[in-house]
Amino acid sequence: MTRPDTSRPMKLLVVDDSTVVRRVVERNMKRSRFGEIRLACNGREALAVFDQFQPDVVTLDITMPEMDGLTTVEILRQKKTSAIILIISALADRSTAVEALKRGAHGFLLKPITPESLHLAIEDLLNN
Amino acid sequence: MSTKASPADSSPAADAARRPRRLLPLLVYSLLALVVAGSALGIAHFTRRLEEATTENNKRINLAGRQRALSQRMTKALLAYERDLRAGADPAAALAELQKISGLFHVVLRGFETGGSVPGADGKDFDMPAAQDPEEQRVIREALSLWLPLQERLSDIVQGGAAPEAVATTVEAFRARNVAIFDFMNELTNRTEFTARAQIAAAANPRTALISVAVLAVFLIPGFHLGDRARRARLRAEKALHQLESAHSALSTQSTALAAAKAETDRIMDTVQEGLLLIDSKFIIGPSHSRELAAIFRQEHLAGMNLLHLLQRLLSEKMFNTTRDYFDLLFDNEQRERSVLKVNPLVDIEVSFPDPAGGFIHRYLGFSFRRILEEGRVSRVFVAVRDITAQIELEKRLREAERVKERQLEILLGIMHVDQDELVHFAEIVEQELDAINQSLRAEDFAVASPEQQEKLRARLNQVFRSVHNIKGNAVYLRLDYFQKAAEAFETRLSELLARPKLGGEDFLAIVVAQAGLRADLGDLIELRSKLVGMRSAGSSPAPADAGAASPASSALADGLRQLARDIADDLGKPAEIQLDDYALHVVAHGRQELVRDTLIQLVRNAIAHGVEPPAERAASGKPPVARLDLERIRHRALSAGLLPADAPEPAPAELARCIFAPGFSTRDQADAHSGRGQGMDIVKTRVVDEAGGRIEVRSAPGRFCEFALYLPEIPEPALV
Repeated sequence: MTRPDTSRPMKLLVVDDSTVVRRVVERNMKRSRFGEIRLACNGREALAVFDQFQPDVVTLDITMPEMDGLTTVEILRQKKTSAIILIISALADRSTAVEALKRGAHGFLLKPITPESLHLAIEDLLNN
Repeated sequence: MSTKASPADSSPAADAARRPRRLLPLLVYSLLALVVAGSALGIAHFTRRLEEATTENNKRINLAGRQRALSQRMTKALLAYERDLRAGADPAAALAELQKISGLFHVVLRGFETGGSVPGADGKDFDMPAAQDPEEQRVIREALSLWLPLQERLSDIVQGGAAPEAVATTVEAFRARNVAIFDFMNELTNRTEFTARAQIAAAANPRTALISVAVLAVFLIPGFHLGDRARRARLRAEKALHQLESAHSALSTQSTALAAAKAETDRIMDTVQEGLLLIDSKFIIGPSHSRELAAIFRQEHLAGMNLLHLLQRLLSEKMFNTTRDYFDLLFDNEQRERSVLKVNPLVDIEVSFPDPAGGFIHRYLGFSFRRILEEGRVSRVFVAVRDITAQIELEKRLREAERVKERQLEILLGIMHVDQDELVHFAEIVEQELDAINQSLRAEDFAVASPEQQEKLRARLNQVFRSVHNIKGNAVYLRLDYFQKAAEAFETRLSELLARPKLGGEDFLAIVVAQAGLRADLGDLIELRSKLVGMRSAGSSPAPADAGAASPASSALADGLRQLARDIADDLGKPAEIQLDDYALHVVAHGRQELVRDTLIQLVRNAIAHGVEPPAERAASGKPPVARLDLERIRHRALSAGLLPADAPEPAPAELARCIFAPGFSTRDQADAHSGRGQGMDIVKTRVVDEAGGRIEVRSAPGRFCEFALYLPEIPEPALV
């Protein structure tokens, strides 16, 4: 898999049905390397903007109305995108994280998130 | 033993050291060749010399020997001549003989003296060398001194001029000297033989020496060659041996190190308190694993087994599926190791081993994984597994202890403000109610959940509910939040059970557990109270006595009810005030105090919870500004609960009022902390009517008031406190 060029300002797509989470991720990531951030409330919205926006990183909740995160990951993987997908979920069930990686996510971050944990998780994925 | 290899064989220093060793044999070979060549030349020279000396000397010896014989033949010829002369015979033959022999004798003798050509014995002339030997020269000189006078006399005869007398004299002279000449010639012969031997020896000895040297040299060359080759072969062998030793030593060092490492690994594998193993991409356990692994999995001979299959028997189906997916992720080269390790689902996993004694043994295992890469691909995964049951149980106990501590702290904080007597009284009520619950939950009644039993079970549940509700009421009254919450949780469980269409014996387990929990809380309460009393009595003076006329108990009840009303009103956001006649409480008979108190608690709660809202609030929520007791609502609920016959026409208010005392009856759809359980009025009815044999009168003016009058029969010993 080709990794995005990390030197230029990058694009982030935040997908979460919680306004609070969307805002927290957006606020914290704006200060880091992301030049452009878009928000989506569920998987369907995310897919609607994905092709045109071409994000480098996608943060994705699992439990969302209309289309959940695991389904979204699978569709994104079928697009053969090079975007890095980080699942951010409150589902502490261990099988969920394994399932997310199996479906094609690159990383898994358990809610509640802190600015540090979010930053570390994204940097960890980008620096690999 | 050195681990270093033999000194570098190709170093320049070694070359320099080896060069003289190669030159030396060459030098020795050259020298030996020279010696052999020189010896050959010498031998040839001396051989020639020897041959010459031998030939010459042989001739001289022969000649010397002939001189000896000639001397005798000469005498014999002289005598023959004299005889012929005397006999008158022809002396010519004898004379010729004499002439020939004497001439020969003289020439040869002179040859011995001065050297020169002489006739040899073989007829050829021989170039005689002059005698060198002093002894030979002496003999020759003495022989000449005898011969020369004789030779002079003879020459007269030979020339034929000698008179017979002269011949006779010569014969006499010969006779006189003949033996001496013979002896000299004999001596000469011997001497020449001696000289010859000396000369031959002089030539032969160096030759022999040279031959010896040559032979020695000739033998030395192959000897040296062989010796050199042998030496070189020995050196090579020594070197090879040394190399072999070094290699062996290096090997044995290596193998010692390997053996040490292996022993170390074995020791670690034997003693480490973790199950350590490697699995391949088929999840097969590798040949070496730590001994502890067998103990953890309660199984021997794990090498070669499939770890996933091993886990399948120990995990739930869901967990097994997750584990299988996770194993796939571990070996998936596309997956980042860090991400995969972060979602390890087997960090602390409960497993169930079949117990040989029957049933299962539950343990907690903690797995950790590390990938092993070969050529950038995951070839194997290192697995460490620990039995963390003790740790998990300790954590559980810690959490439990933490919870107990928090609970005790909550209870403690809750009871600090409560009057001691009230607290004792509360403990008594809780204990009584818990005993009552125990009575209700007697196991035999729940063993069979037959249809006939259902009603009986519901009745029992309602009894339990009343007890719990009473506990809650008292807890709220004393502002014991902890007990209020505990009782509420208990009530919620009971409500769930009551809502079920069918009740079974197992449904009551939760109640038994909740009841046990409450009893534990009660134990804590009693213990903490006694501690608190100890602290208080040890500290400040006892609480001052109440100044009023009312007894401490009755004034406490009044205060408590006022506080209860305030709390409920605050909670519900309804300004409310309770008016109490302290004296009326004061005169309540001692045996009735508890009843009055329980009843009043419920009535106050109900009054505020179901009472009138402020008009503003009512208007805001779209309700009619004037509140009223909703008889229609009571009727509707009563009908649906089967408390009134469905075909009953417009029941009288009094009839409807009775409905509110039915267990579980409430006009509320949702229960909250203060109302909706349908238990409060049931308690009032049970305590006043069923237990004390009293009666309840309800009067109400819709929209204005609702009055409950409780009448209790007198008890034999009314006690005014």
